[in-house]
Amino acid sequence: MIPPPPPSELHTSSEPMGRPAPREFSSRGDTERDASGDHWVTIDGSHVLIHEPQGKQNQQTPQDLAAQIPADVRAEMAKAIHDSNSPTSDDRRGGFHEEYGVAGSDASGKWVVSRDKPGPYANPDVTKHVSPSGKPADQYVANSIVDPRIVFHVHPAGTTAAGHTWVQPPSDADEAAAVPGQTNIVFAAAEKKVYFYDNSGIIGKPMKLKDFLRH
Amino acid sequence: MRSLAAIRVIGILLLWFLPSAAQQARAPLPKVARACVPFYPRLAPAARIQGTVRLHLSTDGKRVSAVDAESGPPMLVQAAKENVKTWQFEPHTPTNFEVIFHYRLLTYTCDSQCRCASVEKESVLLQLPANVDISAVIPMICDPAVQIGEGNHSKQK
Repeated sequence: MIPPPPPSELHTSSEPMGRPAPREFSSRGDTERDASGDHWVTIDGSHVLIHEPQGKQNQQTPQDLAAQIPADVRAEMAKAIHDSNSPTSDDRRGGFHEEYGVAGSDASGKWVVSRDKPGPYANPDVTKHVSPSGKPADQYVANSIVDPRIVFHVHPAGTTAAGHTWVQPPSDADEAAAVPGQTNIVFAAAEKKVYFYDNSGIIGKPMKLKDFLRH
Repeated sequence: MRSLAAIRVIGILLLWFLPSAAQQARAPLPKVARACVPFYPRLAPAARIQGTVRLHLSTDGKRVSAVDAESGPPMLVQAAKENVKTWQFEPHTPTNFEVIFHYRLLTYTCDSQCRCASVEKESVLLQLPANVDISAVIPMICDPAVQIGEGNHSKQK
Protein backbone atom coordinates (compact mmCIF):
# COMPACT_ATOMS: atom_id res chain seq x y z
CA MET A 1 0.00 0.00 0.00
CA ILE A 2 2.79 2.42 0.75
CA PRO A 3 4.41 3.66 -2.42
CA PRO A 4 8.17 3.68 -2.44
CA PRO A 5 9.11 7.12 -1.19
CA PRO A 6 11.75 9.20 -2.87
CA PRO A 7 15.01 9.35 -0.95
CA SER A 8 14.51 12.57 0.91
CA GLU A 9 14.98 14.39 4.16
CA LEU A 10 12.49 13.73 6.93
CA HIS A 11 10.46 16.43 8.59
CA THR A 12 9.23 15.76 12.09
CA SER A 13 7.19 17.63 14.63
CA SER A 14 10.24 17.80 16.88
CA GLU A 15 12.16 19.55 14.12
CA PRO A 16 9.76 22.09 12.62
CA MET A 17 10.54 22.94 9.04
CA GLY A 18 10.67 26.35 7.48
CA ARG A 19 7.30 27.72 6.53
CA PRO A 20 6.94 27.78 2.78
CA ALA A 21 4.53 30.07 0.99
CA PRO A 22 1.02 28.68 0.57
CA ARG A 23 0.80 26.62 -2.55
CA GLU A 24 -1.73 24.87 -4.67
CA PHE A 25 -2.33 21.22 -3.86
CA SER A 26 -2.27 18.73 -6.66
CA SER A 27 -4.68 15.86 -6.23
CA ARG A 28 -2.52 13.90 -8.63
CA GLY A 29 0.36 13.95 -6.19
CA ASP A 30 -0.12 10.30 -5.27
CA THR A 31 -0.37 8.76 -8.65
CA GLU A 32 1.67 5.74 -7.57
CA ARG A 33 -0.85 4.81 -4.93
CA ASP A 34 -3.71 5.39 -7.39
CA ALA A 35 -2.01 2.98 -9.70
CA SER A 36 -1.89 0.24 -7.06
CA GLY A 37 -5.54 0.48 -6.02
CA ASP A 38 -7.38 1.65 -9.14
CA HIS A 39 -7.65 0.21 -12.59
CA TRP A 40 -9.48 0.91 -15.83
CA VAL A 41 -11.89 -1.60 -17.39
CA THR A 42 -13.91 -1.40 -20.59
CA ILE A 43 -17.68 -1.99 -20.26
CA ASP A 44 -19.76 -1.77 -23.44
CA GLY A 45 -17.05 0.26 -25.08
CA SER A 46 -16.80 2.76 -22.23
CA HIS A 47 -13.71 3.06 -20.09
CA VAL A 48 -14.57 2.95 -16.40
CA LEU A 49 -12.20 3.55 -13.51
CA ILE A 50 -12.62 0.89 -10.83
CA HIS A 51 -11.55 1.98 -7.38
CA GLU A 52 -10.40 -0.58 -4.82
CA PRO A 53 -10.03 1.45 -1.64
CA GLN A 54 -8.58 -1.28 0.57
CA GLY A 55 -6.12 -2.44 -2.04
CA LYS A 56 -4.29 -5.63 -1.16
CA GLN A 57 -2.97 -4.53 2.17
CA ASN A 58 -4.27 -7.59 4.01
CA GLN A 59 -2.30 -9.90 1.75
CA GLN A 60 0.95 -8.29 2.80
CA THR A 61 2.89 -9.64 5.74
CA PRO A 62 4.12 -7.44 8.57
CA GLN A 63 7.60 -7.86 7.10
CA ASP A 64 6.37 -6.53 3.72
CA LEU A 65 4.72 -3.56 5.39
CA ALA A 66 7.74 -2.83 7.58
CA ALA A 67 10.06 -2.93 4.59
CA GLN A 68 8.12 -0.07 2.99
CA ILE A 69 8.71 2.27 5.93
CA PRO A 70 11.81 4.44 5.48
CA ALA A 71 14.55 4.02 8.06
CA ASP A 72 14.26 7.59 9.30
CA VAL A 73 10.51 7.16 9.87
CA ARG A 74 11.23 3.95 11.81
CA ALA A 75 13.78 5.89 13.86
CA GLU A 76 11.06 8.40 14.78
CA MET A 77 8.83 5.50 15.81
CA ALA A 78 11.63 4.14 18.02
CA LYS A 79 11.84 7.59 19.59
CA ALA A 80 8.10 7.46 20.34
CA ILE A 81 8.57 4.14 22.18
CA HIS A 82 11.46 5.62 24.12
CA ASP A 83 9.35 8.66 24.97
CA SER A 84 6.48 6.48 26.22
CA ASN A 85 8.93 4.84 28.63
CA SER A 86 10.29 8.22 29.74
CA PRO A 87 8.89 10.66 32.31
CA THR A 88 6.62 13.52 31.26
CA SER A 89 5.19 16.41 33.25
CA ASP A 90 2.52 14.15 34.79
CA ASP A 91 3.93 10.64 34.21
CA ARG A 92 6.82 10.92 36.62
CA ARG A 93 8.23 7.43 36.14
CA GLY A 94 7.44 6.86 32.50
CA GLY A 95 5.55 3.88 31.09
CA PHE A 96 2.12 5.22 32.00
CA HIS A 97 1.24 7.34 28.99
CA GLU A 98 0.76 6.82 25.25
CA GLU A 99 2.63 8.34 22.36
CA TYR A 100 0.95 8.74 18.96
CA GLY A 101 2.14 9.74 15.51
CA VAL A 102 1.31 9.89 11.83
CA ALA A 103 3.72 9.51 8.93
CA GLY A 104 2.93 10.63 5.43
CA SER A 105 4.09 12.83 2.63
CA ASP A 106 3.90 16.57 2.29
CA ALA A 107 3.03 18.47 -0.89
CA SER A 108 6.55 18.00 -2.25
CA GLY A 109 6.49 14.23 -1.65
CA LYS A 110 8.83 14.28 1.34
CA TRP A 111 8.09 12.05 4.32
CA VAL A 112 6.84 13.88 7.39
CA VAL A 113 6.30 12.43 10.87
CA SER A 114 3.85 14.33 13.04
CA ARG A 115 3.74 13.34 16.69
CA ASP A 116 1.07 14.12 19.27
CA LYS A 117 1.91 15.71 22.57
CA PRO A 118 2.39 12.96 25.18
CA GLY A 119 -0.87 11.38 26.31
CA PRO A 120 -2.11 11.98 29.85
CA TYR A 121 -0.76 9.93 32.74
CA ALA A 122 -2.93 6.93 33.49
CA ASN A 123 -2.65 4.47 36.38
CA PRO A 124 -3.99 1.03 35.40
CA ASP A 125 -5.13 0.44 39.01
CA VAL A 126 -7.35 3.50 38.87
CA THR A 127 -8.04 4.86 35.40
CA LYS A 128 -8.56 1.51 33.69
CA HIS A 129 -7.68 2.91 30.28
CA VAL A 130 -5.03 4.96 28.53
CA SER A 131 -5.32 7.14 25.40
CA PRO A 132 -3.20 9.48 23.28
CA SER A 133 -3.49 13.22 23.89
CA GLY A 134 -5.15 13.83 20.51
CA LYS A 135 -3.25 17.11 20.19
CA PRO A 136 -0.39 17.48 17.74
CA ALA A 137 2.97 18.59 19.12
CA ASP A 138 3.24 21.01 16.19
CA GLN A 139 0.06 21.88 14.30
CA TYR A 140 2.06 23.24 11.39
CA VAL A 141 3.84 19.92 10.85
CA ALA A 142 0.52 18.02 11.09
CA ASN A 143 -1.08 20.37 8.57
CA SER A 144 1.78 19.91 6.10
CA ILE A 145 0.78 16.27 5.51
CA VAL A 146 -1.21 15.78 2.31
CA ASP A 147 -1.12 11.98 2.21
CA PRO A 148 -1.20 10.31 5.65
CA ARG A 149 -0.03 6.72 5.18
CA ILE A 150 0.93 5.32 8.58
CA VAL A 151 -0.79 5.82 11.94
CA PHE A 152 1.03 4.49 15.00
CA HIS A 153 0.82 4.61 18.75
CA VAL A 154 2.59 3.04 21.70
CA HIS A 155 0.94 0.84 24.31
CA PRO A 156 2.87 1.69 27.47
CA ALA A 157 4.98 -0.76 29.45
CA GLY A 158 4.20 0.38 33.00
CA THR A 159 3.11 -2.11 35.65
CA THR A 160 1.83 -1.51 39.16
CA ALA A 161 2.42 -3.31 42.44
CA ALA A 162 -1.17 -4.54 42.24
CA GLY A 163 -0.23 -6.43 39.08
CA HIS A 164 -1.95 -4.23 36.51
CA THR A 165 -0.50 -3.14 33.21
CA TRP A 166 -1.71 -2.00 29.79
CA VAL A 167 -3.06 -4.17 26.99
CA GLN A 168 -0.24 -4.80 24.53
CA PRO A 169 -1.86 -5.95 21.24
CA PRO A 170 -4.26 -3.58 19.42
CA SER A 171 -7.43 -3.14 21.46
CA ASP A 172 -10.98 -3.35 20.12
CA ALA A 173 -11.06 0.45 20.02
CA ASP A 174 -7.81 0.49 18.04
CA GLU A 175 -9.27 -1.83 15.43
CA ALA A 176 -12.51 0.18 15.28
CA ALA A 177 -10.53 3.38 14.79
CA ALA A 178 -8.22 1.96 12.10
CA VAL A 179 -8.55 3.92 8.88
CA PRO A 180 -8.93 1.73 5.77
CA GLY A 181 -6.17 2.31 3.26
CA GLN A 182 -3.66 3.37 5.90
CA THR A 183 -1.06 1.26 7.67
CA ASN A 184 -1.95 1.04 11.36
CA ILE A 185 0.71 0.06 13.89
CA VAL A 186 0.73 -0.55 17.65
CA PHE A 187 4.08 -0.70 19.38
CA ALA A 188 3.82 -2.93 22.43
CA ALA A 189 6.41 -1.34 24.71
CA ALA A 190 6.33 -4.11 27.34
CA GLU A 191 6.34 -7.01 24.89
CA LYS A 192 8.80 -5.21 22.59
CA LYS A 193 6.66 -6.27 19.65
CA VAL A 194 5.13 -4.49 16.65
CA TYR A 195 1.54 -5.17 15.61
CA PHE A 196 0.15 -4.26 12.20
CA TYR A 197 -3.66 -4.25 12.14
CA ASP A 198 -6.73 -3.03 10.34
CA ASN A 199 -10.48 -2.92 10.98
CA SER A 200 -10.73 -6.70 10.97
CA GLY A 201 -7.85 -7.58 13.25
CA ILE A 202 -4.12 -8.11 13.49
CA ILE A 203 -2.26 -8.71 10.24
CA GLY A 204 -0.02 -11.76 10.49
CA LYS A 205 2.14 -12.39 13.51
CA PRO A 206 3.60 -9.50 15.53
CA MET A 207 7.18 -8.61 14.68
CA LYS A 208 9.93 -8.37 17.22
CA LEU A 209 10.74 -4.71 17.75
CA LYS A 210 14.44 -5.25 17.10
CA ASP A 211 13.64 -6.91 13.75
CA PHE A 212 11.33 -4.03 12.81
CA LEU A 213 13.96 -1.44 13.64
CA ARG A 214 16.78 -3.08 11.70
CA HIS A 215 14.65 -3.77 8.61
CA MET B 1 -3.97 77.63 13.26
CA ARG B 2 -7.27 77.94 11.46
CA SER B 3 -6.13 75.86 8.45
CA LEU B 4 -4.73 73.21 10.78
CA ALA B 5 -8.10 72.87 12.47
CA ALA B 6 -9.81 72.64 9.09
CA ILE B 7 -7.47 69.81 8.00
CA ARG B 8 -8.19 67.97 11.22
CA VAL B 9 -11.96 68.24 10.67
CA ILE B 10 -11.65 67.02 7.07
CA GLY B 11 -9.51 64.10 8.23
CA ILE B 12 -12.08 63.03 10.80
CA LEU B 13 -14.87 63.29 8.24
CA LEU B 14 -12.90 61.16 5.75
CA LEU B 15 -12.26 58.49 8.36
CA TRP B 16 -15.98 58.44 9.14
CA PHE B 17 -17.18 58.49 5.55
CA LEU B 18 -14.74 56.30 3.59
CA PRO B 19 -15.41 52.86 5.14
CA SER B 20 -19.18 53.22 4.82
CA ALA B 21 -18.82 54.46 1.23
CA ALA B 22 -16.70 51.40 0.42
CA GLN B 23 -19.28 49.12 1.94
CA GLN B 24 -22.05 50.74 -0.11
CA ALA B 25 -20.00 50.42 -3.29
CA ARG B 26 -19.39 46.70 -2.70
CA ALA B 27 -21.97 44.49 -4.39
CA PRO B 28 -24.00 42.28 -2.06
CA LEU B 29 -22.77 38.70 -1.82
CA PRO B 30 -24.61 36.34 -4.17
CA LYS B 31 -27.15 33.96 -2.69
CA VAL B 32 -26.28 30.26 -2.80
CA ALA B 33 -29.19 28.29 -4.29
CA ARG B 34 -27.63 24.81 -4.26
CA ALA B 35 -24.55 23.25 -2.67
CA CYS B 36 -23.20 19.89 -1.61
CA VAL B 37 -22.63 19.41 2.12
CA PRO B 38 -18.93 19.86 2.93
CA PHE B 39 -17.35 17.12 4.98
CA TYR B 40 -14.10 16.83 6.93
CA PRO B 41 -11.64 14.92 4.71
CA ARG B 42 -11.73 11.30 5.85
CA LEU B 43 -8.01 10.93 6.63
CA ALA B 44 -7.51 14.34 8.23
CA PRO B 45 -8.73 13.66 11.80
CA ALA B 46 -6.25 10.80 12.36
CA ALA B 47 -3.48 13.09 11.10
CA ARG B 48 -4.76 15.91 13.39
CA ILE B 49 -5.11 18.25 10.42
CA GLN B 50 -7.20 21.30 11.25
CA GLY B 51 -7.26 25.02 10.64
CA THR B 52 -8.67 27.79 8.51
CA VAL B 53 -8.87 27.80 4.73
CA ARG B 54 -9.30 31.09 2.88
CA LEU B 55 -10.49 30.92 -0.71
CA HIS B 56 -11.03 33.70 -3.19
CA LEU B 57 -14.01 32.93 -5.42
CA SER B 58 -15.02 34.47 -8.72
CA THR B 59 -18.49 33.86 -10.12
CA ASP B 60 -19.91 34.09 -13.63
CA GLY B 61 -23.34 35.14 -12.39
CA LYS B 62 -24.53 31.62 -11.67
CA ARG B 63 -21.63 29.37 -10.70
CA VAL B 64 -18.08 29.57 -9.37
CA SER B 65 -15.83 30.37 -12.32
CA ALA B 66 -12.49 30.45 -10.49
CA VAL B 67 -11.15 29.52 -7.05
CA ASP B 68 -7.83 30.62 -5.62
CA ALA B 69 -6.50 29.39 -2.31
CA GLU B 70 -5.14 32.19 -0.17
CA SER B 71 -4.10 30.08 2.80
CA GLY B 72 -4.74 26.85 4.68
CA PRO B 73 -3.49 23.27 5.13
CA PRO B 74 -3.19 21.69 1.65
CA MET B 75 -5.48 18.73 2.38
CA LEU B 76 -8.21 21.03 3.69
CA VAL B 77 -7.72 23.53 0.85
CA GLN B 78 -8.38 20.72 -1.59
CA ALA B 79 -11.57 19.68 0.23
CA ALA B 80 -12.86 23.25 0.46
CA LYS B 81 -12.15 23.90 -3.21
CA GLU B 82 -14.01 20.77 -4.24
CA ASN B 83 -16.99 21.87 -2.18
CA VAL B 84 -17.26 25.44 -3.51
CA LYS B 85 -17.19 24.08 -7.04
CA THR B 86 -20.59 22.50 -6.29
CA TRP B 87 -22.13 25.84 -5.33
CA GLN B 88 -24.80 27.33 -7.59
CA PHE B 89 -26.06 30.86 -7.07
CA GLU B 90 -29.22 32.75 -7.79
CA PRO B 91 -28.62 34.91 -10.91
CA HIS B 92 -26.44 37.87 -10.02
CA THR B 93 -23.88 40.25 -11.51
CA PRO B 94 -20.53 38.38 -11.76
CA THR B 95 -18.50 39.15 -8.70
CA ASN B 96 -15.70 37.88 -6.49
CA PHE B 97 -15.43 37.47 -2.76
CA GLU B 98 -13.63 35.58 0.02
CA VAL B 99 -14.92 32.41 1.67
CA ILE B 100 -13.54 31.06 4.93
CA PHE B 101 -13.75 27.39 5.90
CA HIS B 102 -12.97 26.57 9.52
CA TYR B 103 -12.03 22.93 10.10
CA ARG B 104 -11.94 21.98 13.77
CA LEU B 105 -11.15 18.68 15.50
CA LEU B 106 -12.98 17.51 18.59
CA THR B 107 -11.44 15.39 21.34
CA TYR B 108 -13.22 12.78 23.41
CA THR B 109 -13.35 11.21 26.83
CA CYS B 110 -13.75 7.55 27.77
CA ASP B 111 -15.25 5.83 30.78
CA SER B 112 -13.73 2.83 32.58
CA GLN B 113 -15.37 0.48 30.06
CA CYS B 114 -13.69 2.34 27.18
CA ARG B 115 -17.01 3.79 26.04
CA CYS B 116 -15.81 6.98 24.43
CA ALA B 117 -17.69 10.05 23.26
CA SER B 118 -17.04 13.63 22.35
CA VAL B 119 -18.75 16.27 24.45
CA GLU B 120 -19.50 18.25 21.32
CA LYS B 121 -21.19 16.62 18.34
CA GLU B 122 -19.68 16.71 14.88
CA SER B 123 -21.30 19.48 12.88
CA VAL B 124 -21.36 21.45 9.64
CA LEU B 125 -22.49 25.06 9.95
CA LEU B 126 -23.14 26.91 6.69
CA GLN B 127 -23.22 30.69 6.72
CA LEU B 128 -23.18 30.94 2.95
CA PRO B 129 -21.53 32.23 1.02
CA ALA B 130 -18.92 33.66 3.38
CA ASN B 131 -18.37 31.15 6.19
CA VAL B 132 -18.39 27.41 6.65
CA ASP B 133 -17.57 25.67 9.95
CA ILE B 134 -16.89 21.93 9.99
CA SER B 135 -15.97 19.83 12.98
CA ALA B 136 -15.05 16.16 13.32
CA VAL B 137 -14.04 13.89 16.19
CA ILE B 138 -10.55 12.41 16.12
CA PRO B 139 -10.41 8.58 16.03
CA MET B 140 -11.21 7.31 19.50
CA ILE B 141 -8.35 5.22 20.85
CA CYS B 142 -8.87 3.63 24.25
CA ASP B 143 -6.55 0.93 25.51
CA PRO B 144 -7.69 -0.90 28.62
CA ALA B 145 -5.76 -1.89 31.71
CA VAL B 146 -5.25 -5.63 32.18
CA GLN B 147 -3.93 -7.94 34.85
CA ILE B 148 -0.34 -8.92 34.11
CA GLY B 149 -0.38 -12.09 32.02
CA GLU B 150 -4.02 -11.65 31.00
CA GLY B 151 -5.77 -9.85 28.18
CA ASN B 152 -2.74 -9.72 25.95
CA HIS B 153 -3.79 -12.46 23.59
CA SER B 154 -3.47 -11.51 19.95
CA LYS B 155 -6.67 -11.60 17.93
CA GLN B 156 -4.84 -12.62 14.80
CA LYS B 157 -6.84 -12.92 11.57
